[in-house]
Amino acid sequence: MDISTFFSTYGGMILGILGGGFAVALASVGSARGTGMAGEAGAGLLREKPDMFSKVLILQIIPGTQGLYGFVIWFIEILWMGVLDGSAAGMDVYKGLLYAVACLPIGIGGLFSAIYQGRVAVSSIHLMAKQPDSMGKGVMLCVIVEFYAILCLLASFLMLIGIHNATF
Amino acid sequence: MAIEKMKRLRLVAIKSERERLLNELMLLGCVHISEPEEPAPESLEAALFLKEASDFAERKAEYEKLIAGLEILNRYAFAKSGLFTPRPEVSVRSVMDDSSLAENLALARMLLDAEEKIKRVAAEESRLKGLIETFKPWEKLDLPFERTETKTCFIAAGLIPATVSLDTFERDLYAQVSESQIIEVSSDKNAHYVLVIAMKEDKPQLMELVRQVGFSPSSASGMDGTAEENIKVLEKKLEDLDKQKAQLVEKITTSAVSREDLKLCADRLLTKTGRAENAERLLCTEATVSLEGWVPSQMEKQLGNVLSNFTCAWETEAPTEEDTPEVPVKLRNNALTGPFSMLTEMYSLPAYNGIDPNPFLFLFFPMFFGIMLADLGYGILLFLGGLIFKLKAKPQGSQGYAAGLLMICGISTAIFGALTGSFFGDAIAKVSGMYGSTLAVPALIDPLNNPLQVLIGALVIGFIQLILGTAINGYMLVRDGKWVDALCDVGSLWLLFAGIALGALGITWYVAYAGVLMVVLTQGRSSPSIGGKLGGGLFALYSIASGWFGDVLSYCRLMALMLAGAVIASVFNTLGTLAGNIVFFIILFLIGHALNLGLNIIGAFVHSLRLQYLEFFGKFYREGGKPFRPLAVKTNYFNIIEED
Repeated sequence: MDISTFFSTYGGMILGILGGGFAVALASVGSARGTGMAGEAGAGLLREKPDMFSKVLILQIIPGTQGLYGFVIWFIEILWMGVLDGSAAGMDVYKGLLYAVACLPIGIGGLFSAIYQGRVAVSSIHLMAKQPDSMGKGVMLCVIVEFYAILCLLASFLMLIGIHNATF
Repeated sequence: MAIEKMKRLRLVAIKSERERLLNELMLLGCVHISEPEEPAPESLEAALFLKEASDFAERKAEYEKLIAGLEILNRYAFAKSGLFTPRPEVSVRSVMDDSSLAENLALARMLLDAEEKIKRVAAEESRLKGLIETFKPWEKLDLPFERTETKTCFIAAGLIPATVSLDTFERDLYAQVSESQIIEVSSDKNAHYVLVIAMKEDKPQLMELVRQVGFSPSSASGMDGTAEENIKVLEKKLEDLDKQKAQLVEKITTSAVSREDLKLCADRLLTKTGRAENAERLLCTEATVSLEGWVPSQMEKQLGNVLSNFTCAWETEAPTEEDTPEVPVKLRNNALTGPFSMLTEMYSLPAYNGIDPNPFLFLFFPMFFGIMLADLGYGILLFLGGLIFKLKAKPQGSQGYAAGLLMICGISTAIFGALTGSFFGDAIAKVSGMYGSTLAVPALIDPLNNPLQVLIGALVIGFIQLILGTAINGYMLVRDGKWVDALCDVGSLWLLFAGIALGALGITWYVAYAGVLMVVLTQGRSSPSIGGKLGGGLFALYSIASGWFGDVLSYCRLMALMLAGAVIASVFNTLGTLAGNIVFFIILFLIGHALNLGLNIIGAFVHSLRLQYLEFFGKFYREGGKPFRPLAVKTNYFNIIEED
């Protein structure tokens, strides 16, 4: 198989899979970092107040949602590309590129929003150390950041719908 | 439904009846005693009326002690209380009762004392354990530590870092000081534990050599006896401490039987603390006490009935306009709007001359919540959760409101779920797909395939809410007799929007021009100069354009959260069907939907709230009311029941 046949047969699929992979990987890195920071702060608080475990846990998992969003986009993408049922081979290069680019928002947006949200979660845990009843406020502050990850999820998803339904 | 009308109360009573009066007012629970104004110094009032210190600080300290005692009980003798266990009930008289306070306080003191001792024992234990650790490496050595020399030799016990190879070092050492010996007692991953033995006259040279490889004397050297003997003694001590600790814990756990008594006393003390706090607000002369406060005007008659039993003089009067910032605010609610009081209070109570936003929250909050969550299955779950909590736990106060809120939001979620044809996402279609049929749920709106429709719907609903906000503002201005303000602020805005609507429909743009003109001409009217008036007007036009644009667009979160939830639900359903196995599907279904529901409840709650607080309230809300805090019986652990 020469190089041009290789690219025309597999190029689109490879690009698409790369894009989807980055969506889930970047978003997951962000979430891992966010939940990691919150987890460290939470463990510190738990040493003093072990009975706050459930509250700390909730604050810790909030920055974890971006990874889930990345996963959702990855899944939808490879499902619609036909990777799961094997029909993706032979996909046009430009089409694979479109799929890949549609995955960008949640990858990048998820990466950074999760880190920033993790920082809010850390501060909220510190806040909770001082005022044990202020968990609700902390959650609210975190969820405000969450909204921008949701926008990224939607941007990726709506583009994927468009590409999937388009007749090229 | 509305902000309760208040009346100012002035009361003078005989001092000897003070306690009885406070008790009766407390039972009535409708008098808010305000902090007295400081009389001008050297005035007649300042000389006559004195604030009397009450036992507030003392009661509070006692209350905190009881709570600390209860916490200790919970830590050592954990009593499982389910989420759905209702709080026990107790009569008002029993909460006002003073008996058994002393012994329960003594019990709380005993608990605190026991815990303090346990802490001390634990500290001692960890110190001993540390000591044992230093002896452990020397356990095999049967040489007592006090033996540091013989007639001609010296013996030094110490550590050499594990990175140093003992064999090599030994060879080097023997080459330089031939009459010397290094004995390895034990080694671990950090260090070699060694004895260095040599002739006394070689000591300086030898010690210099070993120091070069990082030798440090053991902290056990200088102790008496062998390591093994020391460890035995320490372990015996540890055992004793363990026994002591067990006894102390036993002492705490056996007092767990009085847990309910402690709780009751805590509630009694909480009530007492409240009364003492209020008693400090009374002004006293030698024979009388006087108080100023607020009472809801509809409770005036009941208050009169109570006060008729006392030798006292009292009067009430309706607040004047200057009083407005001082009047405490109480919102009158019915069963439906009550839960939303919680949300209003989380923001800030309305000012006394403002408006109770609860009916509007009742209209919009569940609707927004429903639009964002929009799933028939989730809605039913929420409703059932709220219902079961309400029936089983019989919650009162804010927990009761939370249950109500859950039920109302559940209903709304179910309705919007039915409209979008969503039952746990697309679970029905996916499951039927697994068995080869294509069962589609009929839906009025299809958010996944027609998101634009949902987006436009969301923005329209938002615009309606914002317009309603301006209408409420207009109503308040008219109610307060500010016709001009209402016409200029609200009227011009409406004219502008009506004009834009007409223009967009292609009828005429002149109304819109008139609206723009009216905004520019009226919005700068507070400025003294003509230029200021015009500049203010132009700036207002810009603010309206940019502000309303941002405010309306903010409602796109309704659509965003609705879609996000639906997408995630659908992905989990699809993942479940991949294996083609119903058991696998059910497992993934449970995990996935639990996750999605949890995430979306938080999201829907916060974002619905944000739309109320920032966008909606921004259009009309007058905040800053002081909460109405009547002298009343307060409890944390028990529900009060009325007795006949």
